[in-house]
Amino acid sequence: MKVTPATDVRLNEGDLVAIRASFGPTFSSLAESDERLIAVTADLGGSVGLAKFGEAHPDRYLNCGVAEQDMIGMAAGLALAGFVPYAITFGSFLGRAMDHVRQSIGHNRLKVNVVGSHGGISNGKDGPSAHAIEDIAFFRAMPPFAVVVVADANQLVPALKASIDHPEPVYLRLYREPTPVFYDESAEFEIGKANVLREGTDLTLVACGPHVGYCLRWLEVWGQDCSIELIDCHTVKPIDEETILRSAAKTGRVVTVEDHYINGGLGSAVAELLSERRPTPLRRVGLRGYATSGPYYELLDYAGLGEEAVRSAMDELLS
Amino acid sequence: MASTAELAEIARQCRVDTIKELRCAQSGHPGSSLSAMDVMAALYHGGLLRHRAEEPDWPDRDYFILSVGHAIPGLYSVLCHAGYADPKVLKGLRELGSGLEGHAKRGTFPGVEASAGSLGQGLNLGVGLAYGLRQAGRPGRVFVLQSDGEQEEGSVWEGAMSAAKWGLDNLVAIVDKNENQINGPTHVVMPSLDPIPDKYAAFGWATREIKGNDMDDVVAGLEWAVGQSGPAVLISHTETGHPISYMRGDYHWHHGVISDELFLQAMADLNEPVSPTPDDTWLPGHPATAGVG
Repeated sequence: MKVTPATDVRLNEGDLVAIRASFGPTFSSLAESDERLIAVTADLGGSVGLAKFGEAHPDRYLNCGVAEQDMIGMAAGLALAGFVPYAITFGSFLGRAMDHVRQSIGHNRLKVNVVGSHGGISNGKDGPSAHAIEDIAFFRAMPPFAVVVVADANQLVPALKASIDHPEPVYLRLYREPTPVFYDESAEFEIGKANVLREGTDLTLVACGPHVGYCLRWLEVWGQDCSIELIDCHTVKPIDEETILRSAAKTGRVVTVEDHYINGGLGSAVAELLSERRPTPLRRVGLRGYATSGPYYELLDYAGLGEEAVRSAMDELLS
Repeated sequence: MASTAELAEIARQCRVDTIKELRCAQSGHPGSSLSAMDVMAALYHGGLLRHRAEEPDWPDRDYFILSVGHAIPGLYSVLCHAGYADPKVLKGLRELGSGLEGHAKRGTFPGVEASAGSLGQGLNLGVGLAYGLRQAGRPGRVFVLQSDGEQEEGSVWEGAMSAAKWGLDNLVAIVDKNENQINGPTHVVMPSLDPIPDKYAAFGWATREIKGNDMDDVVAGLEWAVGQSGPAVLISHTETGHPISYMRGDYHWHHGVISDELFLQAMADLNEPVSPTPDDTWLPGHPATAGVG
């Protein structure tokens, strides 16, 4: 059994960067040359590194205050006026604005990109009120939206670029704590096209978000006794059917890994696809309920999202 | 520009067509379609809303956002009278494929700028639109028509707060205060909603109360509103179902079914002669009114 490293991937031990911190500088640099871009936030632009952009461009950085519905509605109105607005807050606080997402963005067929930062339990210590464990399900259920879960700080760059001119609205999920950086900034990124990072024959791991980086690390050990294929499924919707079906056909076993509630996220999307098109033994790793306050990396184990949980799900299929 | 007497006559004709629409659909919302009619007719026919029926997407236009999305039958008739579509299409209200959606929906009928129906969203969208027009250097104003029951939605007050922050002098909100909502009189459902003008004023809006079923007062109010230096709101005191005898002031006519008998009574209330002719497919009992699309 062998593991084939993908050529465009590097994994620097100890090289941790917060995805959300990359957002502000990246957005600022893109907005400098694209007057259509406007940031609208419910008082959390500073948490994604937008403070400097706000100082430089106060007319294109709109802080609605702690008012998520107004943030989404304003963004929709800005899109109606021809801008490409980004509505930005924590993923955990978007729930209260979903009816505005549904009608003001969805029914109007407007191009508004929504950014949910501090995804999953990455805002660990703040506790469940600040954990976004339902957001992928929310946006998967909104017909026009694409759902992109960013895997590392470097992937944010092409992902954000791709979201600007994607014909439909995009939900971009970011994370709070520093997480492994393993992509090159120049790595190819296409909305709807998953990346196969390791090729293997025994089992397919389909992951999104920083868990892609964690799986890369864990595979350095696991790869000794089995051949694992690892897919970064950064676009949960529309999901890359071809890549997942081809891999499932090859390995015959699939495990999904995500920092999201077990229902409605990546695992559900893969289960829907496989059960319709190619029934394949499947295990899903995800949250089974609300978590609690705690340091993020400790919380991963506590909440059943750590190495042991993933290995256990794999072993159920491999044994 | 039409005189207020001429505008009142246009509003009467639009009410006639609204009743016909609703009778054909055998469902829909006459209460606010009729209470808010004078404001809509004044905007589209009184020269206050800069628009081009032959070019609905004219970039320099003003935007009318119907936040009270269930009043759409009234807006369809106003748009048809303004030349956006042939009034004959009105008989397709709520029918499959007609484009005359049961609540406002962007992209299905010329001149309908934004989707609505889930209340309390038009003001937020209007704030963003007004900001965006100003930012883009476009001359357009934004008029947002809301209902009074809609003011119970918290997002309305988020929008009221932020509109004042941005100093949007190209934004006018109108609250159609017909005193009723679906489950009862507004003062019973939410007695603490009043006084509405004070609440907007506290957020920094210019406010004025008008008699919303009096065309002279409607026109004067709209002219005042567009001249304010920040966001302005008109609290438009109206009557549910105005002026239909059996609907007036009755919350049960928030929505309802207009029977043949009630249709004829409404035409009489509107001083609209009904003369049966073979071409008049609006008439009760005519085969063409049964399930037309």
